[in-house]
Amino acid sequence: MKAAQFEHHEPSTVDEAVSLLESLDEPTILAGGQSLVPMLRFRLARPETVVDINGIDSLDYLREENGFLTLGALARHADVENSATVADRYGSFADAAPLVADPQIRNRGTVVGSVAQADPKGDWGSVLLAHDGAVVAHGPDGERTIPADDFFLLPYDTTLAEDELATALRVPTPEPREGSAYHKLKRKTGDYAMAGVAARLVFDDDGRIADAGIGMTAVDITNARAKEAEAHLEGERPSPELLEEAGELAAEESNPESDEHGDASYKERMVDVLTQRALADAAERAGVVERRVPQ
Amino acid sequence: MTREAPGTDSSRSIQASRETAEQPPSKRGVGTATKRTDIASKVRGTAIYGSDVSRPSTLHAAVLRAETPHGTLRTVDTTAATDCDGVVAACSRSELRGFFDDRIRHVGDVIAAVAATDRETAYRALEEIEYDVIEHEPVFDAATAVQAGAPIVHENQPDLKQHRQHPIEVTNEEYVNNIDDYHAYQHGDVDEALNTADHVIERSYTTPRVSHCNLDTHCCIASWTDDQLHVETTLGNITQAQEELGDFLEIDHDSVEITVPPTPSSSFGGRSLPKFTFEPVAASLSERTGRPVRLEFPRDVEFLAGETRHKTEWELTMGVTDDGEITALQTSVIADTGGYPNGVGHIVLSNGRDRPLDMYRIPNYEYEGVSVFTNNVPAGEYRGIGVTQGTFALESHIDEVARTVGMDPLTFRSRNLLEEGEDRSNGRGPIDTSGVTECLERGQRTFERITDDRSSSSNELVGRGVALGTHTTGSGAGDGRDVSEAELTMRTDGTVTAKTAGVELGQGSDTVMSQIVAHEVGVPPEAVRVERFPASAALDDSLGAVASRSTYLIGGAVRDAGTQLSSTLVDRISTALDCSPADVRIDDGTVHTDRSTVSISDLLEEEITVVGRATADDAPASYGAHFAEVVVDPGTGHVDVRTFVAAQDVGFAINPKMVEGQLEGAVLHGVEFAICSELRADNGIPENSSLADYSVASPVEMPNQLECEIIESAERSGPYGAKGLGTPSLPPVAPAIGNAIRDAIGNRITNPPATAERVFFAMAGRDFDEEVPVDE
Amino acid sequence: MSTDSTGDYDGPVTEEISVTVNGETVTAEVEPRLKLSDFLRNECGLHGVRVGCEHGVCGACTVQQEGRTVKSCLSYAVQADGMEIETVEGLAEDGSLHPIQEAFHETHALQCGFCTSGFVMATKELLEENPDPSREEIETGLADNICRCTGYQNIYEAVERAADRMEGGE
Repeated sequence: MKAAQFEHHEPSTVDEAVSLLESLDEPTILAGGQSLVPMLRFRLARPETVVDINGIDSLDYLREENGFLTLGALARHADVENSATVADRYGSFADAAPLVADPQIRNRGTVVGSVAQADPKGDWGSVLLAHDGAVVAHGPDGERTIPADDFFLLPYDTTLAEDELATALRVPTPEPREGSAYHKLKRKTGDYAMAGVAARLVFDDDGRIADAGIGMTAVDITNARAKEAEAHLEGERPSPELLEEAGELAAEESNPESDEHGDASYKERMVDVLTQRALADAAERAGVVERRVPQ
Repeated sequence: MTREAPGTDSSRSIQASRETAEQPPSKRGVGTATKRTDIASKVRGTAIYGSDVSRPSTLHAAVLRAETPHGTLRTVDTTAATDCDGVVAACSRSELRGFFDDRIRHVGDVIAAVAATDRETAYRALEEIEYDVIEHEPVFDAATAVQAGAPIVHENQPDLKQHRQHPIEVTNEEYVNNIDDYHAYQHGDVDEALNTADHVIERSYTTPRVSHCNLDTHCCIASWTDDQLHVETTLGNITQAQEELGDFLEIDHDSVEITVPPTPSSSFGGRSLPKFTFEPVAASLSERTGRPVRLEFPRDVEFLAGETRHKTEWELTMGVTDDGEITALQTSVIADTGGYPNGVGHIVLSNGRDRPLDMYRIPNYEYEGVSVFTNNVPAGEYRGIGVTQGTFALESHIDEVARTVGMDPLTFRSRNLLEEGEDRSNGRGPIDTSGVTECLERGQRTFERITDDRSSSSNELVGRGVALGTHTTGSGAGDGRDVSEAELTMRTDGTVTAKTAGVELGQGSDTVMSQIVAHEVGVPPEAVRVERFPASAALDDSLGAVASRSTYLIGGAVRDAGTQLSSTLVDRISTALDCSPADVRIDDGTVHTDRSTVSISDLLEEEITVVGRATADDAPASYGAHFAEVVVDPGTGHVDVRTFVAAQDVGFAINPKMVEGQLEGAVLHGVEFAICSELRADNGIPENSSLADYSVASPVEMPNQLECEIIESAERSGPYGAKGLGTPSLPPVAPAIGNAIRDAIGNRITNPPATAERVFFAMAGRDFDEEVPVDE
Repeated sequence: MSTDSTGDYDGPVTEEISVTVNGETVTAEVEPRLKLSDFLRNECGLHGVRVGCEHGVCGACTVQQEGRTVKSCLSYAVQADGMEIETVEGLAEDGSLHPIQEAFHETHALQCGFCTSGFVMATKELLEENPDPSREEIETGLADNICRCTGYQNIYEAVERAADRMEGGE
């Protein structure tokens, strides 16, 4: 079965894209298309018009500037995977990129597109939440920045307006004693997450946790933060017992459903395990504790 | 996940075995890893598969498929669909030719079908069909379906090949409804033996419904010329397929001609026989429209209507002595046939019954098997039919029994193995050639060499397991009824055309046949062209490319023809050169005598045609001993198969590189059966009918280190000593992995696949089945 | 099946595209919804682009677009307008097999061959990025391609052999 007929628009600037979004009737934005193309093929979506942003060269970047790591809307998963900056300083991004789908999909699919798609099983939303990141959007009234905490509403639904284009996402550059990590469990290679956890830890000079961020994948209706676990960590020194407690709290905060990926009770246990592992890696990368993988 | 550097090249161990194996009588062509003859077009991308074939004025079909598992169609209105632009015919189920009645028996069953000028129009027209179905109570659990009072799937037991294979007499009073097939057998006195045994171990095992996932989706083109039906479709067993299709469509067998596309694609049993909702639908639409009709399965329909491996439930009770001697085995199995039979329930059950007796000495034995219609998607043939499931149950059980007795599982097996020349416990003749002892010894040696220097960290659980497996070659009867013929024609240019009933499905049969001809006649393998003879030919063949019989039986016919061709050729040449036939040597297409060296084409004035024949008077058993090492993540339950050694007795390796490829492919299908794959269903509706949701083994799931040990036991009845390989190499894989998981976590997963979730709960000591019903 | 009825069919809207396929420029009027895989198979006659799953899981339809491998069933032909596409049919030069194709041939890295085009193209990118990959890098680099026949071992061997050959300056 083919997709239903649609019109194809190819703007070359952000402004042009925004005015198309404003004037067209229920347009759909096509970036990497690695999720959208199958959805159209199975007619899970039937847009009348598709605004293809691949020709907007100004959105094709990944850079550190003004205290942020910023990814333009055409930065592909593979760009993150191959970035030396990311490899050096952003453990959670470096962990997550090669775990997204498979090499060819990573060549084509975009990070911003994945976040804007807002599939609760997507990996990047959790990383963005753990880092207190934000989505940059352009609309008829210009640019606005939406904090990650205010971005996700429901599965496949965000606070982006119909006529807004997500042009970038950004996270603050790391503090001196910061580490982050992402752990993901999946049924098989290339699969979406059965459960995933992104963790970021910032330590003070005293070796105590000054700031903690935990984002969870596929265990709630959207990518979600484990706020109680974060709060439990802050002000404490990392220890296996502390990480176990945080894992348990995160598991309690998660709301997984049973589906083809696994039973809810299993996913909840995995949130516990993955949280501990991601926190342990984050602490190690911050240079605060020696490596220890919890069971 | 830990990764190992690639291991030593397994070809080295093949070489080692070759030194000890008896050399074949002559030395050209067979026994060497020649290049495959079918590869050039495949690597260039120019091969034409079923899905690439097109013909002029062909119509495209689409099928409206049931979304409910059980019901009776009251009305099907195709008027609006017929009126769509581009639609040439729209038929309700009852308007299709043959056995189609008004009953829907599984999700994906046919309600109506459309033929149109293009595929999209055909699919669009399906939306215009209105129908009314009276839903019936469905039944999904085979053990329930066979009881009295269960909903009946087939009102009249269908006469669809199955019941002609053997008389069925059901002696179990509890088995009343939906019986597809039934077998009961016993020898000795099992009750008495169990009463007096030192240990009696009883356990249940379940194996999942799985799909072949052949990448090339089903595609056929049907056309009629007068009363003659022609279907182009990839099928391995063409002779039987023509009969079945004729029966189904209620036309003469001779009126059905099946041909395969230029490049048939993989089967693994999934393309052995026709499917009710496939070829007959295209044939009906073609008859209705008078034009060729092409029907292709979308990927999701592959899972609904493309057949699956029978889901089975086993109960095994074994009696043993303190010193590890098996005194009795009682086995019962219930197999889920799904909504339609395809004539192989008999094979599932008879393999379950007979294979343990090809391996072990079991003086007291009782077996009962039933295959049962349900409203699940249909089951059919899948590599290692019945024996894959039965071997999982038996070899898992033997592992448990050995542990109970306190014996090493390998020693326990050795203690009870049948030896070469020893009669089977059921009185059926002796085992002729069995390389099983050598498989065990060589496999164990290699496995220990690879795994001995391994240290494991505290964060991983490591386990090791072994399993044996056996399967007979060919249809298994060994009664001389399975026959194959081959025709060889040498042209005056020195090339040879071989016509056989083989179908090159990727298993390499064309290459093997060309090697055999080259070997016997003395021409280069490239000078041999292998073709399929049409069913209308005067040549005989019973089953085609199924049941691991290609090399053994078709190869036997080619070898017979090759020896005839060789002697005729030598006679002609000696006459032409006026020398003694004994002085003629032909090598690589060149004739050598004491006096001259000339090419065949310079001497041959008329082409030579000969016909060779082989009959399966035996059904030699092939054996394998497989060893697995797994690493389990204690936090998540994830299983990584780190090391695998497959030691397999193949009789003789005509092409060692292709043997290795078959073994490695078997390991893939076994690995996914053990830890990945399961077609799950909710009320008969498959939940994961896409390649995104259904797990097959990717490179990552495969063992990090895989070695094949090829054992050559020189089977008396096979060409050069060869016997079956494709089927026998699969069954030991999954139980070896299952036993390794048992070793790692101290608990057994009796219902594969051993997904991370199941292993996690098994480690936690929870009964997974109580927590989450796997099916229904 | 998941078909739904609408009256949205007003006849096709088409765009003209110009794509360089295996070095030759192909100009065609296509519907925006035409997938690149269908364009290559049906408009260009390149059946070596195999379609196994239609939604980006099996890898049989892998081609190179502007030098990067992509699954051609996951993009539209209009998105390739003005770009260069290479398929498996474009690899052989003057009839001689590319070293990767040669290596697949020699090592029996295929059986039924349906997945082969995709594996050959994925190998091309793998070796372009990493001329001397380890076994693990090969495994993960080819993880998006499914083969049902070989168990992958001979495919790894082919990649290693091709790497040796291409390193050698062939």
